[in-house]
Amino acid sequence: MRKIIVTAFLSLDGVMENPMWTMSYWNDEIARFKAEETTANDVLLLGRVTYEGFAAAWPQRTGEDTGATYFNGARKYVVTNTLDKADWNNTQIIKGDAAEEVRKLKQQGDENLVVHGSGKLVQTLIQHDLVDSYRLLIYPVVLGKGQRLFEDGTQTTLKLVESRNFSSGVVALIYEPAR
Amino acid sequence: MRKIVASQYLSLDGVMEQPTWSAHYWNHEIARFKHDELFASDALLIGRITYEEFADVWPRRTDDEGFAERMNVLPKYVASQTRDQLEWNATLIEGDVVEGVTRLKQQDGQNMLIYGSAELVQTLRQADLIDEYRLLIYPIIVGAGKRFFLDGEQSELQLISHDVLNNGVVALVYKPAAQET
Repeated sequence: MRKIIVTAFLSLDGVMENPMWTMSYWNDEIARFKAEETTANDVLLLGRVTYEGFAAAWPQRTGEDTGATYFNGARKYVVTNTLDKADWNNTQIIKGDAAEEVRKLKQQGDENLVVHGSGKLVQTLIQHDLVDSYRLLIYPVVLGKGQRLFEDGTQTTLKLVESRNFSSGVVALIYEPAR
Repeated sequence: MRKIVASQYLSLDGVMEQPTWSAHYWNHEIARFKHDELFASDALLIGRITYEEFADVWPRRTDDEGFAERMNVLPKYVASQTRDQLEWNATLIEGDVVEGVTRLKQQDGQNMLIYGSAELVQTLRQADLIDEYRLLIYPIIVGAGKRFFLDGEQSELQLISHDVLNNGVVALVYKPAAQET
């Protein structure tokens, strides 16, 4: 069965929205951490808001950018009941009951499903115990505003799998559900 | 000049309210972390809600390490706009909180320790009066409750230390990032 991996850039106050503030901290260590998520033959699973942000930004990046090659090329599922079409290359819309549809998706194929951002979708996935791994980069900044990855929702207990401390003061935390 | 240190138990979703979920993870590493910071401090600085919760439970507690005794004996400075009668060796910070805390900070002494007190932390953070944040991040998403960092202005921090405890709790210590001049 496929794994669902949630990955996000977070401020110390848990904000994930439009993470332009992460740019000044970018270094080889963070690049390697993100590359671990983007080199495999993964499939992206996105909420509508994150999809729209990505679909507006990534197609304009050049082929020199390995991130762009990955994001533009990868198979993408966007979970939405409001979009009727999704033009970004290789995107398929998932409608209906999100949890049920994602559960079905999880049973097809072997590639991991990687969720970037997508706060609302993540909330649904947590509620239905569908997340298998969380890869969080915690930045040394309190933003004071913006959408959080973990908005109010369901309680769930995790297990810390790995923690790395980068020279820019960013901390990488990897968790799994404590099932 | 003394340091102001804010210490808090946080869930992974940043909730600080009623951290009864932290009890299950208590171990000697956390005990040491909490002991060290309390014994490096000679006053508590807290908001009204934290004051009321603490003043209700701490006077009845005892332990072999002297933690509860120190909690009870230390002077407390309380930020409140609604209370004027305080017990538990507590004094109201009169007038403007930022001015009052600035005066306290200029005194000599050990650290002043803040537990909880999200509104007070918010006010002091924005006035650049907090010298250190000591955060214990628990491997749990609570899903409800008051968060430690309230909406407000942005602050850049600098990571001082990062320790992984063997129960999966992560201890992160930050100070404000050096000001550009």
